[in-house]
Amino acid sequence: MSDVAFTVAPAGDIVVVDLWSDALPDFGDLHATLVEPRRWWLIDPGDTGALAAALAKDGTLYPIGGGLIQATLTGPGWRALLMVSGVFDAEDPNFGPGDCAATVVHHVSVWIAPVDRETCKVFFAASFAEGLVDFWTAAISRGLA
Amino acid sequence: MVGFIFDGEAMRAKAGDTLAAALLRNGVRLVGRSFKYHRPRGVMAAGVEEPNALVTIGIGGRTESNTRATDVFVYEGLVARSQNRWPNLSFDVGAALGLAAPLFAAGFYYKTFFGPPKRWLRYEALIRRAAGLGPAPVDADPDSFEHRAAFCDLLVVGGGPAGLAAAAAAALAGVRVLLVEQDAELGGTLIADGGDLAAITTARDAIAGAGGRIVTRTTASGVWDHGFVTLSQRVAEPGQPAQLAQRYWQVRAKRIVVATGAIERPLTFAGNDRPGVMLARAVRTYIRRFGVLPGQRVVIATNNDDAYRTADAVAAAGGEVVAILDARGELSDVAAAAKTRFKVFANAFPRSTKGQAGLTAVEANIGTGRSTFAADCLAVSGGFTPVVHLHSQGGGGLDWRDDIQAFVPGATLQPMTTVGSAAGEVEAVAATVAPLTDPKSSFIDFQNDVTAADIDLAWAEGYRSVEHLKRYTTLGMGTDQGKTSNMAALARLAGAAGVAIPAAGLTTFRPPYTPLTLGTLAGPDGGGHAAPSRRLALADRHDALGPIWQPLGLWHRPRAYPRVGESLHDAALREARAVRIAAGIIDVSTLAKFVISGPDAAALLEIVCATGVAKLATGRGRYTFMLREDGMVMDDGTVWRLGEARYLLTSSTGGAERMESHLGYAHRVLAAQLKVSVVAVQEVLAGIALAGPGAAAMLERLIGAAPPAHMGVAEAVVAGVPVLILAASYSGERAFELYPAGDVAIPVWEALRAAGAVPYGIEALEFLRIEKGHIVVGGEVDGRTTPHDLRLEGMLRKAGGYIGASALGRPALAAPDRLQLVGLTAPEPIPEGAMLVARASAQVEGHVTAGGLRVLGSGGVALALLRGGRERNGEALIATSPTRGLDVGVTVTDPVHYDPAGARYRE
Repeated sequence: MSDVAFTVAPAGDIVVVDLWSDALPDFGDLHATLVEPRRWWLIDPGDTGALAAALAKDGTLYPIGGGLIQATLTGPGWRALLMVSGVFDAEDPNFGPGDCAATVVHHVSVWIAPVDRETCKVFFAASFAEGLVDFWTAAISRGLA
Repeated sequence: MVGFIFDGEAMRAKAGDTLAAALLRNGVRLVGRSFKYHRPRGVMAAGVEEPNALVTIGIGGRTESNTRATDVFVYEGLVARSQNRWPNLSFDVGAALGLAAPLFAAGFYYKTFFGPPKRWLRYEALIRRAAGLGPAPVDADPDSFEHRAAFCDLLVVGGGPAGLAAAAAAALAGVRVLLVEQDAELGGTLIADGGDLAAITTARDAIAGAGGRIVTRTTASGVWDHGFVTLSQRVAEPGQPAQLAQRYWQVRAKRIVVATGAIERPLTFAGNDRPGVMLARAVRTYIRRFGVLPGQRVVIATNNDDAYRTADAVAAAGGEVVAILDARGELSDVAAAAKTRFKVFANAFPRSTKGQAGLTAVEANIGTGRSTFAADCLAVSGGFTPVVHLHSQGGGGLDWRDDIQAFVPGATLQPMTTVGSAAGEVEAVAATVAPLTDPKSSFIDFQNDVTAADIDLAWAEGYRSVEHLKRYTTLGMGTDQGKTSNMAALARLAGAAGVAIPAAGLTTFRPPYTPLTLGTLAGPDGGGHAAPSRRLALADRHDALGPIWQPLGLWHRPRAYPRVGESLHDAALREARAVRIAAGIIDVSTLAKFVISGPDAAALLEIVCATGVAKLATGRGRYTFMLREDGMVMDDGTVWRLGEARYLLTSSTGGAERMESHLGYAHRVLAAQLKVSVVAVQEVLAGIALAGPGAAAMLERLIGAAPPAHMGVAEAVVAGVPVLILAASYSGERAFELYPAGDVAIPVWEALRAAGAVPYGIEALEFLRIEKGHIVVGGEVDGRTTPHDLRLEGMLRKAGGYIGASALGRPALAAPDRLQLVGLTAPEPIPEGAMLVARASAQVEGHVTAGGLRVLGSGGVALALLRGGRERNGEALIATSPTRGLDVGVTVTDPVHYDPAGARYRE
């Protein structure tokens, strides 16, 4: 019995924010996720004009959503699923909402962003979607005990 | 009860039986034949150290050969077969080899198979027929295998008393614990010795209750660096149909506790391999854990106190303890106490055994006398060898302990602690060794039929290093890797050398601790490509056209779209002609693409690109290429200035990840001070190239405006989709690359199709680019070519400052006899990969990197790398491919075969 299910969909609107310094900008109401040093993702940010203006000479924005798929893993088993052919400690209880891990699952580069105890978003390049969906479907059917 | 089949005979087992226990329960004593001499062999041990009872389990694709009967738990329907026998186990023709044993002494192969190479072909056939044990499966394995990562604060290997205690204490202290046990049950020696079984449950509950993880049927197969440990888990038993057969764990542990126990050593004497001769603790395990008494009349031979527990177990199970042969001259308190219940003989050693397929009698030296005991089981204990494999794999040293005659873990290089029996908490032994009456039948390594005489012979022939001895005699090889034989072999070697055992040396412990199936290592990749496959955003549209797909790195790209009856070649030529005559479209989404932004974007690009970038006007682009530090061309592409401080860099499909790393190296290491952003957008933007004399007009109709001039940039809308248009040509025709967002590319493709553009694949693209003289990474850019070799030196930025610039100054890179890019022409196709020679048998002067046909004309054209090629236009050479039997006369030309002035793409 595997207590996880997943859906996949185009990632939609995701904007990269790259900063030239370590100074943290004021993201306001935007949902910003730190994905690597000095790089943030804004997920579904809507209008980013104000942020772009605020960044001015401190950084830049670029939309990347068109090439990404977003998988939504639901159920407490999402951590176990991400350990299958994974290399990152998704089972670490300290890894939770607000964190993002750039890692690899079954040779595919992914970004793992926990949403809450039973939900996690995983982003990856669209070209890998078919293979990763098959891989996860098989893993869940085998069981994750 | 559970039904199973052994050698075609239906048998019954108790639930929880290992196959070895079940066979003993059914009275089967002869389980297999030995590797070299085909001697009858039975069950000797009760764990993974078993050297004798190797069987083939399962049928069809689930066949698993050379599996230890002691390491398989019987399930309903299990099918097992004995190995290395013909026609059957009890009557094995191969046993005749035993008569020729003197011929098969140590180093037999090295001494026998001499002579001319032709003779080896005959030897090889014979050796291959004789070699190996069980058969490898022919059918594909239908089961699934999985790889799984795990992290923990503490990994405990071994679920015996010491391991359970360590794991429970750690779990209760709040750390993340992973406890693994190779058996199906926790408890280790507690199960065999009838200890405090409730303690097992208590510890298990404590670990689980504190959030620890316990995984049984899981063996730590290897310890690597930095707390990395690999585990092999039997989710299903060998040959058992299941959703998941095995799982390979890759564990990163902050600390490791090794509680792997100790392995009992056999004794060395004549006929010590006869079925019925077993390890004393194994006998006890079969009695106490499985309720099976391996023999009714049991002789026990020991040099320590542990075997006396076996005597108690035999007696309690209703067996007769015929005699206890204790090697010690002075009996211990335990032995003395046992003397009140059993016949205990001091200074007593087994001398030889009797019996055919099984033991019937034991002949013993007792003091200066000799006695024979009728017996059907001889339980032997030569002491215990701590399982130091994991400690040693981790680079740890070993210390010698005289009292137990074994090595124990010493200093470790890993975050590792060894506890319990594995740390040397085992019974002390007497070091007494009895002289052998017949070294040729006194086996040291049972699995490989290595006798004491073989070791003596190897020593006599000059093999002094234990590592050489191992390879000469095959000692310690095979599925058991010498678990029961190593110490006896060292003792024999040390005796021959006249040194103490530690001075004799020790062979290296390497992973895996127990054999792994190939399926375990392959994991989910079994049966297919080991890497993921990448699917184009437009893949469905291509599929609708029935293309021939071409793997390209992880991608699959349309090679051509053949119509009914068309060959690949015909289709590609038709598509290429469509581009030359009208307009074609090709999916170029796989090109690497990077958006480089910021006030220092040009500065970063001028570090990475060997051409000028900073002076590029906004809205313009140019061809560029990148060098490695050694000055060799690494990749090429185009760079476009999209805005005041924003550029788009494209490079080759196959080099996308490499280029991303290269940019990161330049950005993060070489010029971390630059205010610049590098975003990889390979899939953010899909790409469709539109090329041909009709391309500009077609595009103008679609976007409602004049398309950009050659190497110009425009933003437009096609079929309602915003696209970035880059006017670049790879085909030699007027061309445009259209880049819509990856998730909305389909309407753009459809609009271009509806406008009359002909889809073409990478085979046609190859025809076009060869004719135009464009280089490609992996072809002309082969990691050994410089800009000068490829006629690109005129584009190098004179101010330097780019990666590889300093290396270009080396004289050797400008030598005139280097391989240089040339064109070739011929009246017929020029074979790709062919060598270029001046005449038959002459020295090779270069090779054809790519060959094709003139798209609209006739004859073959090619690109090649030719020694000193830039000065050799007009020379006649031969493109020869001996392996294909092809020789084509060619003429050296400039590489650009089509429109050298570039008029067509500027139109």
